[in-house]
Parts: sequence; C-alpha cells; structure tokens
Amino acid sequence: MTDRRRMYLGTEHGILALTGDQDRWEPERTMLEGVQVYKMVAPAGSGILYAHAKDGVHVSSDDGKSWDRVFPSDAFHIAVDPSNPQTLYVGTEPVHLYRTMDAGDSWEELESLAQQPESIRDKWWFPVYPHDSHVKTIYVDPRSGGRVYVGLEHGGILRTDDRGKSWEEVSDGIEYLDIHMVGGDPAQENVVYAATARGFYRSDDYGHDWILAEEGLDRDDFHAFAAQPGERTSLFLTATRGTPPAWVRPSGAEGAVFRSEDSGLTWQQLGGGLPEKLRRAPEFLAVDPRDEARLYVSASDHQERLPEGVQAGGEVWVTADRGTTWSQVYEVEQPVRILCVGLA
Amino acid sequence: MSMEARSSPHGTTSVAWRPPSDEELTWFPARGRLTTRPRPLEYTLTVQAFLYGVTHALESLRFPLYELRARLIDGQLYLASVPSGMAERDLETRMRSMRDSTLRFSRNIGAAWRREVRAEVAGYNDRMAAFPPTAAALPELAEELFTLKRLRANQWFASVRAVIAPFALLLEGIGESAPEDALAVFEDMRTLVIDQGTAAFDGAVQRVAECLVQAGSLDQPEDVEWLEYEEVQEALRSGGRYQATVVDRRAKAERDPGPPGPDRVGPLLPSDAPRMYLLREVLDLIAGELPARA
Repeated sequence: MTDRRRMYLGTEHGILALTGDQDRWEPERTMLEGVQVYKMVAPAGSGILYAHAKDGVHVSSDDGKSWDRVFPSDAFHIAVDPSNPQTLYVGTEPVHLYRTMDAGDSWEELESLAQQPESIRDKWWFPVYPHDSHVKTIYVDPRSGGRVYVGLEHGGILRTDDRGKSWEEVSDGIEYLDIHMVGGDPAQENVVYAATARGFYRSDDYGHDWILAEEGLDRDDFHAFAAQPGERTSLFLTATRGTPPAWVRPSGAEGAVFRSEDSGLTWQQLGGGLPEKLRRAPEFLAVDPRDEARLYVSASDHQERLPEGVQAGGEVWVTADRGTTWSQVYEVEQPVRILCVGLA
Repeated sequence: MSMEARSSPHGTTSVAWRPPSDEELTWFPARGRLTTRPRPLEYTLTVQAFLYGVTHALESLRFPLYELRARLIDGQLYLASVPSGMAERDLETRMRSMRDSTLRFSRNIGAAWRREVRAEVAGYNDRMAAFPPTAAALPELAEELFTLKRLRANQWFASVRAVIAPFALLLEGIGESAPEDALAVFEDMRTLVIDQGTAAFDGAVQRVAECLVQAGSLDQPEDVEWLEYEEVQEALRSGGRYQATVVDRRAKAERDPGPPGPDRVGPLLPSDAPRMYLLREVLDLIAGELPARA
C-alpha cells in the first residue's frame, strides 16, 4: 500500500501537482497550465480527475497528463456522485445545474432548479456585480443518489429527492442565505450541516429546519468542513472572522480550524502548531483518501485585500492525528483556489 | 492539542430562527423618497426594489438588522426594521464586524465610489433606458420585468452600500473620509440614482405600460399604476383585460383616501434598539435631507 500522496493546488495559472507523504512535498508538474482553476475532484480509485476552470470543466483519465474540456461554459462548482464517478454535477452562475452520467460525454440540464417560482428566485443574489447568485456547493448523498442538496451564494439551500426532477427550498432557520458548503453526516442520513458566511448550522430533518451549532466557535464566516464517522460524528471546520471585505485589516482573515467531537454540538479551536489567527484565509479542507486521521487545509490571501505591492500567496497545513498537531508543509507565491488530495 | 474551548455568545440554538411576523414589529410611516400612499404598482414594484436594495446593502455591511420591511396600513405606507437574531445575540461582535466590513468604503468614500461603484450605478441607468429589449415578446417581458426590478434594486444596493451608509457612519465619527469629498460623492450619487435613476426606471415602466395598451389590456399607459406587479406580469404573459380592476381601484382611492395614520403602529421601540442603528439617518440621506452637521 502506497504512503505517497498527490496533492493538487489550484492556482490562477493552472493546477500545481505535488507528491509527498506527510511533511515533505515536492512539485511534480503543472497541469492545465495558464488556466485559472476553481475546483478539482479526484474520485478515489476511479483514475478520473475533474477540474473546473474559467473556461469550463476539464476531465482527465490519465492522472492529469492530458485533459479534455467536456463542459464548454463557465462553471461555478462541481461534485461527483460518490456512488458513480462517471456522474458529475455542474453548477453555474446564474443558477443552473447540469449533470453528466458518462464523465462528460453528454449533459442534461436539471431545468426545474432554475425554474423555481419568482418568490424563491428573488432570494438568489450576490453582493458583487453583476449580482447574480451562483451554485456554491453541491452535496450528493452517498446513501441515496437521488437526494442532492444545492447551496447558493446567496440564495439558500434546495434539495431534490428524485434526482433533480423537483426541488424544495430548505433554508428555514438560516438568517443570512450566503451558503458556502452543505454536507451530510456519515452516520445519520437525516442530519445535514451547512457552513455559511454568518453561521454554522445543523439540521436533523433533511434541511427542513436549521439550528445554529456554534458552541465554542468564535469566528463567524465558515468555509469548508469534513464530517468523519465514529461513535459520534467528528467535524472539522475552517473559519475566518468576517467576510472578505473585513480581511483588509492588518491581522487579515484571522482564520482558524475547529473540531467537534459531538456532531457539531460543541467545538474546540485547533492549535498544535496552527496559529491562533491565520492571516491568510483557510478556505479549503481535504481529507486524506486512505487515512481519515490525516487532513489538509489550505489558506490564501485575496490579492484585492492586500496593500498595494504585496503579492498574494498561499500555504498548506497538514495534520496526521485528527487535528491535534499541525505542520505547514508548503507555501506558494499565489493564492490557492483549490485543494485536492489523491493517491500517488 | 486543542486551544481552550471558548464559550460563544452564538451558542447552539434549540429551534430554527424565524423572522418576526408583521404583528410583532414596530411600524413607522414612510416619508422622504417614498410616497405616503403608493398606488399598487408603486408599492409592489418601486417600493419593493428600494427595500431590496437598502436591505441587502445594510445586511452586507453587517448593520444589526435582518431586513427593512414595508406594509400598507389603511393605504398608508409604513416601514419596519426587522431584528436580526444573530446580531441581537451578540451585538458587540456584530458592531465590530460592521466597522471592519465598512472599512473598504468608509476609509475613503470618494476613492471607493470612483474606482468601484460609480460606473456600475451609471450603467443601470443605461440599461433601464434601453428597457424593454426590443426583441422581447410580451410573455418574455413578464420575466424581463423581474430583471428591471432587480436593476433598480441593485442600483439602490450599490449606492447605499458604498455611499449612503458610509456617509451616515462618517457623520457618526466612524470612517476616515474627508467630509467635503464625501459630500461631493453624495451629491454625485444623488444625481445618478435619485434624479436620473428614478426617471430611467419610470420611463421603463411607462414603456411596459404602452405595451399593455397596445395589447388591449389597458386603455391608457398611466392605468398601469393601479395594477400590482404580479398582475402586470400576468397581463404580459396571458393577455386579458384589466381595465375594470383599474377603474375599481382608482374610484375606491378617490372616494376614500383614508385618514392620516398614527406615527407608530405596534409596540414601542426604544430609540437605541439595535435594529434601528443609523436607519433613520440612512433613510434621511436617501431622502436628500442632509443633517446639519454635514
């Protein structure tokens, strides 16, 4: 069994692939050179890589040596059906959702999402010009391929139980509908979590009602999380103090990583090498494909939030003991837009 | 190892938060930019676009409110500030976040306006002036009307977020902009949004009304003022005659304009209630009423 991993860092100029183990990582090659990449997915054991970039969605079946552009227009988020790596969902701005079931050869739009009544679409908006909402997160429940949650930035959460034929808005309880990530509990199908720009929420009824789950959290803008099985579900969560406009302050994003050992009821900020306030924003988190005690977090500057003349950069932190100790294993002179880890 | 667990004022709620109902809120009469007794289309389109823009602007700057809501009471327009559950649970953090979030504008209102916002705000006037798209069929116009509403809302959003709210903060001593520069930006914004923007928006609505006259739904373009936004959309989608509704509503309004309403409807609200933070000042600025200290 290999201990080697491949880490993919998305940058403004392509995907930087690194290989390494825990503490030592070496650049291997740059993929999709010159392309601004936003997200990448490497379904375990499939040999397939999906990347979505400014110019569309790209797929590789040879470890990133060659890529085909399979979705030609701007995408905002992609997610693979965990039960079938050939099935990929693509969300866009303005809000539309597409699906391929053959790794990108053919696509269908799940039209009923974009055709919601105006009373629902009225909530779909974004503070940045042109003020169109986008699909920020897609969660495909591995226990039920028909159940998919879509989170909109801004606009709330919608859920389908019938593979996208019909959708129900499920945002009750979330005060500010700036959704960053939605994900399910590995042990309880009815329990879902949502990281938003103003709070971290838990739902016990498939998203119908959301309650704040913030005991121990002292940040207010939440980005990525991972839920891991156990006697009680463990959650790892990245957060910043305030949204990007606030990161112009000298202390930057004041980022932090938190862990909950009780399905989000209580939280502890993780130290063990991680600064109490990361200046760069820890927006991405990845779980090792083979060792669930190992997690990766990337933190980045936002160029527009830095003083003139200061170059934005990014850094990667790794823990091998479920967040107890951390080490910074890589730094890059570009913001890291994505973080994805697979087997080398 | 973990850092010490901290208690959070946010904590864990046991039930899902829901915004208060109309009956729980404190309502005050609208004035300034908003008509006291709006006709149906003004209430359901113009006022709603205004509220959408102002609400999103203040929310995005983390002012401690959930939304600005409107209601007609005996035909008179009232507004209420809806409290934010999150802000009221931890007001100190919210106010700190508000100061951080407004920095990009309040540090230098003029620079932010000229660099980031002015072109966007002016662009909405161009788009409203070109509304409706000449190629749009009537049913498509129904959807385009949503776009028009959003254009005007976004114009309010951009100008309240970048100019009016930071200006109100500056008058409170929060921010670093030069007052004379802020005042010049405010005047520029007023010309673009309140003078030109209002004319461009009204002109766009007038052209939609002319389409309804041509289609036979109305007799005169000005009759459209007596229809609600959704009725205008339905008329565009499905045709049909709406003149009887217009005549009925107009006659009722002329017959019974209604007495002036009270200065407050609902429970007494302390003047320092978090939800009201700088709200009257923001609305006054939108109305063009500069405080004496400006």
